[in-house]
Amino acid sequence: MKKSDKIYEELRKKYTDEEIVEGFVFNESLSPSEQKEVDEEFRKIRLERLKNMTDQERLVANLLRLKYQIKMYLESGDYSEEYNFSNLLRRYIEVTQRNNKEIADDLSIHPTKLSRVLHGRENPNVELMYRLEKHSSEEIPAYYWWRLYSRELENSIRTE
Amino acid sequence: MPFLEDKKSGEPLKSAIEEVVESDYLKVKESGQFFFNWKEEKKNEVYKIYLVGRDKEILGMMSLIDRPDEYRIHLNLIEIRENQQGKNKTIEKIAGCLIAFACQLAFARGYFGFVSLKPKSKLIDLYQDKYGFRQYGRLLGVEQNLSYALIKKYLGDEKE
Repeated sequence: MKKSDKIYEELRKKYTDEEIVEGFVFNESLSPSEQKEVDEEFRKIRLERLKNMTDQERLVANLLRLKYQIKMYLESGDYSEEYNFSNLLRRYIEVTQRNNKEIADDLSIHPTKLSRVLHGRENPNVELMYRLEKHSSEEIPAYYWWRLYSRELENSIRTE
Repeated sequence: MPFLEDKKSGEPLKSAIEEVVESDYLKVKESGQFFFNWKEEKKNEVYKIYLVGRDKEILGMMSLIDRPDEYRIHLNLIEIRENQQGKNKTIEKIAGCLIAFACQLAFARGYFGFVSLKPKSKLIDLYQDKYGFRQYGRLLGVEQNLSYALIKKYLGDEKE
């Protein structure tokens, strides 16, 4: 009997199938040849799917990538220069595939002001953070930007 | 933050998901609440979920395998402690929160939110119904919108 069948039978003594699904995830045991076949089949489907992703799907996924990287950074409590406001704004612009002029227009700010913020020569204000939230269709909330900036400030106060 | 719920009152319970530390393996074993041998998962990324502000009792464990070559995270094992299983449970959504956390990691790592599992054939339909997984050959997976929907459902939305 396969290992996964033994596990399943053991769990079935106590739980219904629905309860097993609510409380466990475990792998089906396969023979090496079955596993090879399953892996090959999956890999083919996965690579095909990746190849056929639309630009819109990639854009949304990249925005969510940035969002969850910021979220996990904020939850970590650590400080990293990589996550300074200006660096993250630069990454946001890359993700949206807009150039600096276009993003300045979108955010209704002067390109010079955007450039100064990107180069750390001018501090971002709360209004810019709200505009960024709106620009991301509210995926990246204004308070994420605020917390990134305040962590940077905190580090600066601590170290200078 | 995971959105665990008190089963009786429906009230949200403040909880957290973190990578396990060495002492957690002993804690899990000594609790007598876990069926699987979690020490065998040490080679993978292992996370725990617990209630914040209580005694940090581990409610559930999750073992993940990172597959950057296929842009995915594989759910190798999830287990919820015995007294939160089946009819005994007092807290809802523990496994859902762990799965959603894996989805969040899969976005943050640039895998388009792709999370896979390889359940017993008999349980496939139930995982699909419960969490919205789709079939990719013999494996199940969630990605993109489905993955994002799980995050919003189980980990909450920053706008709330």
